[in-house]
Amino acid sequence: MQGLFGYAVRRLLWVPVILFAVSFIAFTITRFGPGDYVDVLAGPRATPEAEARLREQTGLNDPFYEQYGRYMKRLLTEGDFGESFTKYRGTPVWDIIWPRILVSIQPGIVALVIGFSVGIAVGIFAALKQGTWLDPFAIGSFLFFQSIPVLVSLPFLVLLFVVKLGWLPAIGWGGPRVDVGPQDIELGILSTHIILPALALSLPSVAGVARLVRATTLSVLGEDYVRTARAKGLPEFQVITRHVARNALLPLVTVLGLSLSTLLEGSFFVETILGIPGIGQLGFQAATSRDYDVILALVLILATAFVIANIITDLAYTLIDPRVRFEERRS
Amino acid sequence: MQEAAQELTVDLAHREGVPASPWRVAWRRLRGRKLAMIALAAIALFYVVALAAPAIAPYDYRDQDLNNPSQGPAWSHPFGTDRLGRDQLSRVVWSARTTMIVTAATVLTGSIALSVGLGMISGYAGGKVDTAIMRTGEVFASLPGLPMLILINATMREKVVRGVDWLESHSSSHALRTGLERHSGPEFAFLLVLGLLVLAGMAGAAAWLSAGEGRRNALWLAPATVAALLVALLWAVQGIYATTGAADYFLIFGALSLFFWVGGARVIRSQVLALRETEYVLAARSMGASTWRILMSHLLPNISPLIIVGVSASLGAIAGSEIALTFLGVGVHDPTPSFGALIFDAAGQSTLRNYPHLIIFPAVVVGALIFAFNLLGDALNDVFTPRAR
Repeated sequence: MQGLFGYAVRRLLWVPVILFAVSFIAFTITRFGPGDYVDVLAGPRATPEAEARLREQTGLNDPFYEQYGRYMKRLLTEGDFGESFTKYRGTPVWDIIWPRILVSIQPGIVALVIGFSVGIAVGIFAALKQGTWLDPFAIGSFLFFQSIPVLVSLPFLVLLFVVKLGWLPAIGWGGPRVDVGPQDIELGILSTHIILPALALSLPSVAGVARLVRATTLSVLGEDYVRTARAKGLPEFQVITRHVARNALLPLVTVLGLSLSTLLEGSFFVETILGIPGIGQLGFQAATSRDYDVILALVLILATAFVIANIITDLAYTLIDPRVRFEERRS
Repeated sequence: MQEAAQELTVDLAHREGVPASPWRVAWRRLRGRKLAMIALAAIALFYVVALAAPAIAPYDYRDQDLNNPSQGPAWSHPFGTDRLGRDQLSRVVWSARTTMIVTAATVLTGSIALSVGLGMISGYAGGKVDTAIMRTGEVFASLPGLPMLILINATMREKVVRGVDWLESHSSSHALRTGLERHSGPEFAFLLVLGLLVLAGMAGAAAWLSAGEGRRNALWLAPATVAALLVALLWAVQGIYATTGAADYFLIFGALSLFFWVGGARVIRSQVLALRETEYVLAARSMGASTWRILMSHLLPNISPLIIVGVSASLGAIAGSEIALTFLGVGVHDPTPSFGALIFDAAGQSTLRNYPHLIIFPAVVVGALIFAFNLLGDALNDVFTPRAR
């Protein structure tokens, strides 16, 4: 495990470097956009002198790298992401974001559970039916769902379940409310509102899981211990669940990181179309109202989450499969 | 492996005496896949419609039929009209043009120029250059794509709009016309040189294609590549300026290229790392071949299957990204039509309830297109890397 440990340390040492580069790029971009804090704060009828004074006071006249230094200092010492300056004027960005993360996580987790369980079932089914028409049919039909972007499939789901059948509630989000500044957010634990977003988010991830499970199951099915299990007369169901599935499902850890980013991108559209107060909707609002500090904070938080998820995925991969060794690889 | 070898011998036996080139073998394998051929036909149809949008669309995408807003499908408007009375069929056809421009431009700059160029440099040069390129790639890969694209498009738009305005006033078809009238002026000279270069490039490409296997080399390939780029540029100057929203196109494909090169560059780098050590590269080097020649005529042909697979795999994602950005309000702006805008307009709860016809046509076209891209990408992957089966 010496090699693995060294590899983990090396990877972790790179994390701050990458995050600094990411934050510098993202920050620089926001400081060169049209419209800034002062335009909004001073209002449309402010005199140029007043604007200039305000600009001097808020430090917007300094070179952007000095502003970046100040921003990072505040962020690292006080955990302060700055303030929203258009939509929720004067509210700390972190107060806007954290309740929304709680909201966004819920359909994400449900979608992960649905996507993985259906994907595993379909993958094993397809592997067992290899050679018949059911194998390509099962994989192919979910490949279709994988190809269709969420923003195309979701309107159809709404049309079917909300407009035509009327089974599911239309838009919005339920549950206990949280008051944070000017926001009034429903946390929405255990409400029927979660079904539609979870369905739309899970559909694209099924095919990826199913294909991987199919491939690993096929390779496991040819192993000697499976033949032994069958030869000693175990029921087929037990052979599949105990001997095949257990070994075939391990590599699934590697897809987890990938599904995370797919889920996140999907949540932008799901939350915008269905009016769910999560981070996707926040990103959309911030983009349209040019609330740069909010988008900047979102980018930083998500980048951190991605980098950490990637490292965990890689490490899990080595722990699971001892054949993967990192000593020789130049990381 | 054995299977592949058998297939190869069968392919070879098919036409006795004529050695089958790898491309011909791949094409024959692809032709055997019905689904892939259907996908290819659908994509080709989409691009033909997009190219001929002005001829096919029954109305202009801006024309409003104020007597029939939000009308269902009818003879005068086969796909119906939107809230402002604009013909939905025309808007779908013109949206295809937007998708075509963005995918073509992003593939050219991001998937081909950036990822092949950087991947080959990184793999062949090694050392510090390699580290620098791959670390930069790592930073880009760890940026969350969609929020970052939103950030770039929301902040950079005005700068790009200004830049394109400047370009347009200096080199548009209008400037060309005035240049022709005066028979002088730097713009006219610029375009004349551009045109001559394109002609030279076309001749080079034709010569390269007609030259035998053994005689093809970098000298023929370079002008062909330059020609392709210039044709694209000329077409951009003439074609994009004719439509509004040129700045949006530049912004979107610029931002997308930044994020779509990393994966391809990594694959190409690892392949170049392996090929660099082969005997034929060693032989070429010992005979005094220049680095450029080794890269272009020994390595490039060997990684071209990878390039094709990579490009076809990224096409669906590129088209999807443009639509997604426009949907979120930071892509192509009104009045330039895009599938993202069409879907956003139609996806509202009350619009869905009252005018479901507005969502159906754009959504079906987008779904079919991206599905076709993915099917073709899968098939090409199987065709070019038979060991994966």
